[in-house]
Formats: sequence, C-alpha cells, structure tokens
Amino acid sequence: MRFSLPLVGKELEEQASRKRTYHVRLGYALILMGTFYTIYADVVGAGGDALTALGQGLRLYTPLVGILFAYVVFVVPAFSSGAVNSERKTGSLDLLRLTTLGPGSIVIEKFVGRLIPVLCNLAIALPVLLLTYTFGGVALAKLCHAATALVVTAILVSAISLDMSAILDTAEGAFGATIGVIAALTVTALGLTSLLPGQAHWWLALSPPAAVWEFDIVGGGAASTAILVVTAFAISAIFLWDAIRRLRGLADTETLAAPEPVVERVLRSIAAGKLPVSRPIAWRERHRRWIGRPRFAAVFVGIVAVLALLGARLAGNITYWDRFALLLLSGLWLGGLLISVAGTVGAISNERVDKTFEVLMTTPLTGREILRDKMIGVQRFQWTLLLVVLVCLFAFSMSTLLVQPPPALFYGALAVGLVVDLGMLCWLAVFVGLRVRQANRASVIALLIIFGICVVPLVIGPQFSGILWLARFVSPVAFFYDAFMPLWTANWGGFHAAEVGAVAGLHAAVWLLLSSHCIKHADRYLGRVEFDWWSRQRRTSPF
Amino acid sequence: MSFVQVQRLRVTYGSFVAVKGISFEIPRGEVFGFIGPNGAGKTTTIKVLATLLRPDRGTVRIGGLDLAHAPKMIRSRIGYVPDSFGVYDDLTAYEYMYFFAAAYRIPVNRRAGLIDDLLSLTDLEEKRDSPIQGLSRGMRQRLSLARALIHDPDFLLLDEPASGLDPRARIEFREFLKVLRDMGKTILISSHILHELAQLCTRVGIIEAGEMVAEGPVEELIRSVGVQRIVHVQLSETSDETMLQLRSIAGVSKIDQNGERLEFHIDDSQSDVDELLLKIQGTGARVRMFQPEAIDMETAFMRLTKGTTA
Repeated sequence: MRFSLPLVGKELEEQASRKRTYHVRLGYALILMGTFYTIYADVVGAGGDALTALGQGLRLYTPLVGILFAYVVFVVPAFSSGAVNSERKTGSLDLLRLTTLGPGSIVIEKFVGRLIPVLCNLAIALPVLLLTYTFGGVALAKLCHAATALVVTAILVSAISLDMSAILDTAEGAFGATIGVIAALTVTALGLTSLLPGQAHWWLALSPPAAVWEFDIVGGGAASTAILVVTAFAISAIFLWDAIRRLRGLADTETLAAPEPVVERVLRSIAAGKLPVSRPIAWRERHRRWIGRPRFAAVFVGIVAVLALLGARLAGNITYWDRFALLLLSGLWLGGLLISVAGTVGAISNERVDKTFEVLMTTPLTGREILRDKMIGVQRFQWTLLLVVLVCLFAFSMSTLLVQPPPALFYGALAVGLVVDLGMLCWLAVFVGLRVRQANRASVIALLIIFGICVVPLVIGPQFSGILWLARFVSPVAFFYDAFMPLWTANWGGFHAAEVGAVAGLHAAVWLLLSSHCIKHADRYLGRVEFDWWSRQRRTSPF
Repeated sequence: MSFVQVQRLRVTYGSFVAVKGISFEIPRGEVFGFIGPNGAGKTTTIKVLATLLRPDRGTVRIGGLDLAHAPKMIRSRIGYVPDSFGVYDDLTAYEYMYFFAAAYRIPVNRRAGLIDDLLSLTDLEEKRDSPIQGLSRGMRQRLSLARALIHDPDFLLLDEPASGLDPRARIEFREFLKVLRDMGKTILISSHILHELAQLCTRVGIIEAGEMVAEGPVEELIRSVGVQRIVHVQLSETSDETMLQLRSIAGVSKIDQNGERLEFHIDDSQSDVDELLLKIQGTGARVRMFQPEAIDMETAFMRLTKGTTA
C-alpha cells in the first residue's frame, strides 16, 4: 500500500477515478474565473483603463468570497454526505470494521479523505483572492480572516456531513440534515448576536459564514480569527466524536434489532389506520417518507422564527435586526428549497436503486400517475414551507407597519413568485431524476444546476444590473431578493408589481413546460417498453 | 403451443450486445431454469420478458400475446421478482402488500382476505405488522414472492431469488416453488446455484456471453454432454470374480473401490441408474446399499460454457 492511511488513499483514489470530480472542478474553476473576469471587466469599464480598478478590490472580494462559501456550504456536503451510509449500504462498512482499523480511524480517515480535495480547491482560489488585495480596498487582515474562515468552514461542514451520513441512511437525507445544521448554527449565531447587547459578538463564531461578514467578533484582528478557529474546531470535534460513537455502537444496534423509536411507532400506528384505497404511491409519500411529514418541523421552525423576529424587534438592536431577519427568511426559503429538491431527486432515483420502480412498472399504474403521486409529499413540504415564510414575512411587515405599510399587492405578488419558483425548481429536479440513473449523480447534478441558476446570477447580478439585468429573470433567488428589498428599505416606490409579475409569469411558463414534458414522457423515462421509442437511456448497461 | 416463446432475441446497450439472438420456449406449467455466469445476459432477458426493456430484434410471446403489441395485457399476467426483491423498507409487510393490492386495483373488499392468504402461504403471518426493514433476506424474498402473486399471474419471473439465502431458507423456497408449480404457474427462474435448479426445474437454458449454449429438459441436457453419473454401492461380499463381472456391465466405465464401498462411474447415454441396479443383482451380488449421486449439473455447465462474458 502506498499510503500508511489506507482509507485516505482509497477515498482519494476513488474520487480521482470519478468523472464527476473533474466536472465539478471544471465548473468550479469556470464559475470562479468567469465571475472574476466579468466583475473585472465591469470595474475597468469600456475604456479598458486598468488604473480605474485601483481601490476597487472590495467589489471583487465580496462576490468571490460569496461563491467560495456557497461552494463549501452547498457543494461539499453533496460529496461528503454518502461517506458512511454508502459503505453501510454496500456492506463494506462491516468489512472495514473487521479490520484493525477502529471506528476512530475509519471516521478520521474518511474525514481527511473527503477534506483534502476541498482544501485543494480552496487553495486554487487563493491566488484569485489575493488579486483583490493587489487592487486595493481590501485589508490584508480581512483577507486572511476570510481565508481562514473558508478553511474552518470546510472542516466544519465536512465533519457535520460525515456525522449525518453516519446517522442517516440516505445521502439525500444526510445532505438535507447538514444544510439544516449549518442553517441552525447561522440562525443561532445571528439571533444571539442581535438579542444580546455588547461590543464583543462572541456568538458569531458559531457560524464561520456569518462571522466572515461580521469581522468584529471581538473588534477584529487576530483575536477574532483565533476565536473563530477554536470554536469551529471544537464544533467539528463534537460531530466527529459523535460519528465515532455511532460507528462504535453500530454492532449492538444492528445485531440486537433496536426497538423502534416511540415517535416512529406512533406515526406508524396512526398511518396504519389509513391504508390506501387508491393511489398507493400518494399514500406512501404522505405517510411514510420524511419529506411528506414536514409539518411538525416546519411549524416548529415557523414559531421559532416568528418569536425570534419579534424578540429581535423588541430587543431594539437595530444593527443586526434587519440583516438577521433577511438572512432568516432567505435561509428558510433556500434551505427548504434545497431539501425539497434533494427529496424530489431522491424520491425518483432511490426507487431506481432499490428496484422498486421496476416492480411498479409491472403494475397497471401509468407513469403519469406514478410521477404525479410521487410529487405529493414534496408539494406538501413546499406548501408548509411557503406558509412559514409568508407568516414570518407578515410578522415582520407588521412590525414595520408603523412606518409605512406594504401594499396588499406585495403579498400577492410575493406569494405567487415563491409558489412558482418552488414548483419550477422541483420539476427541474424531477427532470434530472428521470434522466440520470444513479442516485448520487442525480442529486449532485440537480443541486449543481439549481445552484448555478439560483446563486450565480445573484452573486454577480446586483454588481452589474447594467450588464446582467437578465439575472432576475433567470435566478429565483435574484427574483426573491428583488421582491424583498422594498420590505427592508420600506421604499414601496421600488416595488414594481408588473416586473415581479412578469418574472413570475416567465418562471411559471418554464414550470409548465418542464412538468408537462416530464408527465408526458414519464412512462418512457421510467422504462416501459411501449414508450421506449427513443433509446437514449440504454446507451450503457444499467447492470 | 408453449406458454412463453422467445425467438432470436437481441438486446444491445449502445455498442455492447448483451443478448445475441437467443431462442427458447417454456411450456405451460413448467419451471424453466435460466443458468449462466454473471454478465451472461440473464437479467437483461428477464427484463425484456417483464416488459421493462425493449428488444432490438426478435419476438417474444407470452400466453399467446406479442410483447411488442400487448405489453399492458402481458403485465397483468406476469409476476416479477427482481434480484433485490423490490421492497419498501419503510412499510410493514401488510402495508407493502396493501400498497400493491391498490396498485393492481384489486377491489377493496377482497384485499384483506387475499393478503392474509398470501402471507399465510409464504409463512409470514407472524411478521404481518413488522417493518420490512427488520425482516431477514429470506423473509423479504418470500414477501416479494407474495407480492408477485397478489394479482394471480400465470407466469412468474424470478431473478436470482435464491442468492444470499441460508440453506434452510433455500430449501423452504424450493418447496414453495413446487407448490406454485403444482398450482399451474409457469415459472422462469434464473440462478447460478446449479444443483438447486436441477432439483426444481423441468427445463433449463444455459446462457453464456449472451448466447444460449444449451436448452432442454435437465436429464436430456446432461445426457447430451456425455456427463458420467456416479453411484455408490455396498455389497455384502466383494470377491475378485464379482468385481470382474461388475466391470463387464455395459455402460460402466470405471469402478473405484474405497474400503467396502464401490463407486460406479456410468455413462448416462448407455445405461441408466435403475438398469444398473438390476444388472448388479444379475451378477448374483447382494446389494446392501445403492445410492446414486445427484445429477452433476455443475459438470454439465462447466462442459457447456467457456467462462466468457459478453
């Protein structure tokens, strides 16, 4: 063996042999360089005078750091969420446990194996970040702080996703849970910072992405960075320790058939009374799959969010309040969106992996029925999510009512926009799930596409409203951002209902197009012979 | 006319030819064993028969229906069990059965009784309300079989159903398939556990690298490749004269002496086991034990195949 750490070697070799590693690397480099060049071109202007870029480093720094954080927070978990559960699924985890490697070695080596490529990708971006310093306008300390925050975020995210993959059975579930934990840490950090008075915002260290924008944990400088590093390492260690503990306890839970948790048992007995008379897939999606039962969690999150918003308002800490509220609502929406996308892709691709689709295809159910009923759980989740976001929005706008009430049209346009965007993105995920046969690949592709159309135009869009004004028509997040801005600025003259309506209409058309295409060709994509007139799916053997 | 007729079936994945024009027939009520190494094309063929894969060439008729023209009708007459059984871990055994009863649009008033009958037939009554996640592989397999029977199909397609089962589960499964055969179901079962198929199947087809290398009734197949059978015999007295007479029996190619036991190697094409007993008794020897070895399907398989994949 070339490596003294066998699992690290195996992980690295495995990743190096996958095509998708290179696709992601290429996409990452293109996005990074494309963003840099586009912003640079805008800064330099039509005259092409490079001197105009001097002192404009911050304009380059902000979107670049944003992209890097988005990569670490959203793409890294997509690759790490299958670290343990995929080994468990194939049975190779048991084989590893039979070797001299202990649970500690397995977890640490897996962690290192997944972290090294991420750190390499971040290292590639470092020269680009340093360029922003050479333009001026960005302090070296700020740059070092951001670079350190990126590295510790990568460590933190990898540790969380590794632990989630040890807890949950599917990569999609682990991905959703990782995003959820990061969102919870960020909300807690910002919430506590806005609620508790004082100059030293220690709590920001709980979330490196939040801390990087708020440099003054203890007034900036090396001390802030040190606190951030220590906190991130401590949280990572807790998650890694939990993963080790779970692997250590695996033998007992598996051989002794642990009793079903009480909540599961109660839910099962409730659902057992309602067996499916017709539409069995819709029944299963509603009663069995986690995505179909989000109401408890969503209602809980909703209540917490409303209380936090009102609490922040009452605390009177205006410095962080509006930012916190914006982040909370955007985070809720974005997190919910990613979870519903992951759930949608998983609903299709996991059935393929388990070969339950094959069995369903031999029943009289049509592809149209199967696909429509599969979406029921996801739709339920989305409606709950929308309700939560709109309730939060209403609570927030009520608190600003005293200054200037928003027009009723605002709520209508926003609600329509949110519904349309969620629908559009989920049908995009369905399309990817139908076309890509492997579960993990389908999840990664769907998330990358959605990440691309959501976040990239948002990051570079506002910088170039002149050049990329079309961003709002493409990106649901840009649209969301546009629609939200008047609420925070209380400038209702900036709210253009017609524009919001036009974008919503455009997105609705895409939604309709995607959904009708998927439903029309469901039988063919799902694999029924009479519809397989175009055998593109059979280019490679599925076995 | 045979219940299943496959003529010159060819399936490709891009430039890779998985099945190269195979033909075979399965008469109604027979158990057809589909034998072949991994990657031979068994699963591909089964998927075509299960209406999940379109063949590039060839015709498939099931129960007189052409697969190219009436896949929907065929679906109502087949029960398919994939190699991973296709079960939902998050449901209980009863819910799983009810789920498929609804999927097959079985009238609501018939469902409960039907499911109870099938769970009883597959010996899963006690696991009725257990989550599938906690069932053993053998139980999952039986549950999947129960599910495949819920709409009372005529033709069962079982893809490697016995792999990974312990000996007891395998024997129980074999007995269960015999029950199904007696119920008149036509069964196609793929496996690479050869002696299992030899005991169960009436016909077998050996596939290798996408080509059918042999097909027919088991006995006939073994005879055609000239496989020798071994019979263990113990006589009350073994003299040199008796041994000389035994060696001269037609069809006996060799006799190995192991203590009191004699190992007869007989050529199946010239002499069968029953004849051998009569011939030994004809020499005047008193037979204390007469035990033919199971049909050596593995030898036949090894002789017929070359160990290549498509």
